[in-house]
Amino acid sequence: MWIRLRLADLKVILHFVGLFVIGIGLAMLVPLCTAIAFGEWDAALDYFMGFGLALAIGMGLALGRTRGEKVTHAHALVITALGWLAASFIAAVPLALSGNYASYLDALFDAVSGLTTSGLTVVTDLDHMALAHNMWRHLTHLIGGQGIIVAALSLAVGLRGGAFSLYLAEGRDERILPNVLYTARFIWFVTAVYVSLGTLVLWGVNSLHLGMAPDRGLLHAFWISVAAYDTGGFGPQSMNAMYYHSYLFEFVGVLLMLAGTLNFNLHAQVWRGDRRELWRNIETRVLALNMFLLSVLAAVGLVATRYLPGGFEIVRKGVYHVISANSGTGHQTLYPGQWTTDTGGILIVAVMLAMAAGGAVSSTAGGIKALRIGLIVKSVIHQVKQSIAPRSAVLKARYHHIEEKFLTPEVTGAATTVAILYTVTFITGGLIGAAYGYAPMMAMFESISATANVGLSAGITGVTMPTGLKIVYMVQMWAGRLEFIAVLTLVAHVLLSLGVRRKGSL
Amino acid sequence: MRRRLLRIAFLVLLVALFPGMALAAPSAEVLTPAQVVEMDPDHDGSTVLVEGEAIGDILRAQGGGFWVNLLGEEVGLGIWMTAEMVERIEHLGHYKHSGDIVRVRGTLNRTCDEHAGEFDVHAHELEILAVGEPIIHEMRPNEVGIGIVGFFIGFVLWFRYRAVRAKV
Repeated sequence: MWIRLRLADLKVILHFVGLFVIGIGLAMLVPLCTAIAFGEWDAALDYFMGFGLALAIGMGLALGRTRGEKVTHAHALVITALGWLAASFIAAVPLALSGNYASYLDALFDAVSGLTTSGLTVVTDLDHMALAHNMWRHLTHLIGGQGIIVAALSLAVGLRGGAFSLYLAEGRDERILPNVLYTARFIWFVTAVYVSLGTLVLWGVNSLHLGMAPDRGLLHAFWISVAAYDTGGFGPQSMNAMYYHSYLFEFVGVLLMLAGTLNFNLHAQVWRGDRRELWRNIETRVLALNMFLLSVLAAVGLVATRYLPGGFEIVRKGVYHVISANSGTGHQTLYPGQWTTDTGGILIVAVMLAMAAGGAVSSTAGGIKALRIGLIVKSVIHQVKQSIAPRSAVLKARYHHIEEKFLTPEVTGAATTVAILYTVTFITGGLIGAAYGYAPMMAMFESISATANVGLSAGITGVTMPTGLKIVYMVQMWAGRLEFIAVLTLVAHVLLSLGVRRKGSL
Repeated sequence: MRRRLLRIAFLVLLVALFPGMALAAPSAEVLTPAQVVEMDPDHDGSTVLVEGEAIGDILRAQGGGFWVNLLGEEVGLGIWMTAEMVERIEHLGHYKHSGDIVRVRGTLNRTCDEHAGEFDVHAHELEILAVGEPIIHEMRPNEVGIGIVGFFIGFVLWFRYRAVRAKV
């Protein structure tokens, strides 16, 4: 009854996984050039070795498929789940060689966190890290934010058949342009525009306003722009956004976070001149309403605790973290310990709800996503209306998302399924964290942050965190980024294969 | 009895002569940035003595003055300083150089009124304890070897892949 993967299928899957590994190796040329430009010769060797390994392993995997077999939907889901894992394993190699990680597992944690645009980190001595390694950490946000498959598609690397299946399997719900290759290229075009604009503005802020040296100012501007637009959350210094002590810097960061959390399809509509879509779209409305209500909740919490002296400070600390959480970025201007000592429970709850809700579908953000929340709420309202309407009345619920659409049971069911999977994972991770002895509230905070690919930390994530919890958070980040289905399909295929082997038919 | 009275008189004299010693006693302990961050919120506004490595950049502060971030026990702390203090810092820590180790006496603000709610320390005194030094990073030749072997295997497999594809 079930489609079992045969050896020929496995060859197709491994071929594409191999291509992604080679792609990650090629991307290492950027930090390699950075290392050479800044005379960081030992770091340059880390990337030389990383590239060499990626090429050998990637080609070894890609060798199996030679006949150009087509990629099926089942292949696409497994390719995506395995491809992201393999990419993380190879991306971790130069980080592990950097000397800034206690073990290869820790380097892998940051590679997974970077590629999934989570931003949780277990790095040590970040303030003395090579520029090349910092470039690589932020580049993982850039690759993962748009998607490894989108990157491969935009370059049309050997993806002839099944391109759309691969595109969907990576947690992208919508095709923006008729051709999926053009869609992938459009996503990169939008990213290039925002990251370039952000880099220019932040370079000005860093050099002219803060007085940083031009080269360091430019690098920091690029890294923060990538981390904010790709809703990643890494920073080049251990103090993250606190390092700059500038509300102007934070304001530019917030604009980039908001741009990153919007649907690429919406960007395309606005680009085409349809600015009304920005206000009519159910997703933008849900996002705006959610951010507003949670900001008010955060402000009420901060006023109640009297932690901050005035309204401006409340906006700077409270609203900033709600937007950072809701967009899935995770840039932080509070010390992790301050969540428990200073800000009070209401802000923590507001931030946790914002993290769980997440940004738009087909964006770089994580979490349940605004469109799904909007559809579930609409469905609830529709059912209430139906129950109080006369039996003869025929009620149809509609919503606007790029075009007018009817709310069907299939659409609502799909949204609810993903929302349930996220919620179950939030709770499971929280319980595991609590079982390790962490305060339940903080364990839940960290679990939501990992699953929704946010990166805000209440202080659990760090080099001293138990190994088991590091692995749990890595799985949460991976599954959350791919919105579970691809990962569950991989698990199902593995279980099916084991079942076949037990029966002795393989 | 007389000895006890003498002892009390001596202590009273000591406090009278050096009142600053008694007042400064709670903050005389040298703290790391991590310890300052973990201090109880009740210490907001108190004078602290903090020691750490100056890292990264000297940043202009909004409203005048400069920011220097001190690092200690993997935690950074923003110190607000005057131009005169900043000029005394020679090196800031980064990949190729360790920063000066400095000791700062200043006021701890968990939510600074002057700097829009920043968690900071406003420095009153600065002491340079040690000047930063270049950091030598050793090259690892085995990485070159592994890289070359990787490239070799990769290219061999690539040529083989192309040859097989050409046959198919």
